[in-house]
Amino acid sequence: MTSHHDELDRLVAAEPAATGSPDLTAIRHAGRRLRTRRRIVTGLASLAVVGAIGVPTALVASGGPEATAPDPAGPASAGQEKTRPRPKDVESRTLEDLLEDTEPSVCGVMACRFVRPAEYTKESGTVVGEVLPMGTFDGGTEVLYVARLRGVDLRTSEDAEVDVLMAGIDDGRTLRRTVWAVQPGTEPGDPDLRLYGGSKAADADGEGHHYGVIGYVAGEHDVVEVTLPDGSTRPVSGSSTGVLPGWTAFYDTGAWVDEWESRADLTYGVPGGPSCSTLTCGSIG
Amino acid sequence: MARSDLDVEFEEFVAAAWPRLRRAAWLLSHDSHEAEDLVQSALAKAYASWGRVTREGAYAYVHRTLVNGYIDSVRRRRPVPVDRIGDGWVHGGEAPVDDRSELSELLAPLSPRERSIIVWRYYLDAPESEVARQLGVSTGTVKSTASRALSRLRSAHSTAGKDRP
Repeated sequence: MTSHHDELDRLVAAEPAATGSPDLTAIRHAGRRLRTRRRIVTGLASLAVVGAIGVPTALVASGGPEATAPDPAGPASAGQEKTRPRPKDVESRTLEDLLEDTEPSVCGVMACRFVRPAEYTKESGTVVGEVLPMGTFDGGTEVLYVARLRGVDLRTSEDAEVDVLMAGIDDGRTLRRTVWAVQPGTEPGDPDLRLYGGSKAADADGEGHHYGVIGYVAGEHDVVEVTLPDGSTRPVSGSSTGVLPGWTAFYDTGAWVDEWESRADLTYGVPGGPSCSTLTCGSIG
Repeated sequence: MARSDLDVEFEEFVAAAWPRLRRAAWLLSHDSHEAEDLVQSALAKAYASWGRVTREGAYAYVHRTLVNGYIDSVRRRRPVPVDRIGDGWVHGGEAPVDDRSELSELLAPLSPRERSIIVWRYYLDAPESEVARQLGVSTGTVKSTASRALSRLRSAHSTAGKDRP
């Protein structure tokens, strides 16, 4: 195979089409109901606009509220009650909107508890170095590690044995992979520093939100730092030079700031060495 | 165009679009019932706005609506107990074996966002720029997501059955 695109093209071409047939009657029926509902909502919204303009105008024209105040039980108040803000239609929202307030899961640093249990797969690669604990989640220790396995050299798209920075959960018996993140030494583009994560995630207690980032930087460093959007700098939550010899692997987590967009714009680096932001050198899952 | 002509046009569109749309829905949800609901909902919305939808590009419209509907359905779900977590496809509404394919295996372990990128970009053949814009990511991220997903698939094939060393 020559590229990922070719490989995906092959998979798509081999994919069988669905059999069966659509229920056109039901589709049209649902469509008509939807259209009717939209017209009603649009009509009520128009009434609300007329009311909003018309009532103050009438008040001004008549000299005061005492003379024209509508009956609280009358049509005006009924109309106001029915014209609550229209909920956004699904098709009018971007995926980012939907993902923004997605709460299908609660998360540790990187692991999230999804409805689909296939999110956690047993690690099949060889763990090559230290397993760095990040915290506890889902009854185990959330860990950062590098697994060596057959994968793809992302610079050439060729099959190769690769080292992959993973996040997982170790329950003492089994290591389950939760994130296949980045590949030291076989990433395209800047090879010295790569990041993964930085999205808004629900706290494990369901009370707030946080972000989690994992990554690596070439070389063995005592300190890896993160610079927040407000310009402040601090050491990352944890780092290790033992996860993969010749590299410094790290993880970082912190409270989510409401003003941030859907991804935290954080810059990671080492003093006097490479640095890069999540938006430039980062991947997401 | 008369009302009946619009209906005929819509029926022809559904007949042409349905097989791929229905499969895309299954690739996203891995659940036959949910896939049926997603497609039905996307097509009903298209029917409700058919004149406008046709001008916008009917295929692009229903594809976007389908993926949005999938993400929305994920959003409305609740977390499940820890003890349901396990290997392989053991989620509720498990697909019949015949529905599985290399592509569906590729998609199974991906997050909803990653799965949406692959299905929308490659299976439904949407422009990279549109997928990136709707997801709020760069086109590079769309590409790298596909690369990593494929890498996982190959890794899974080459190490299938092996336990942790």
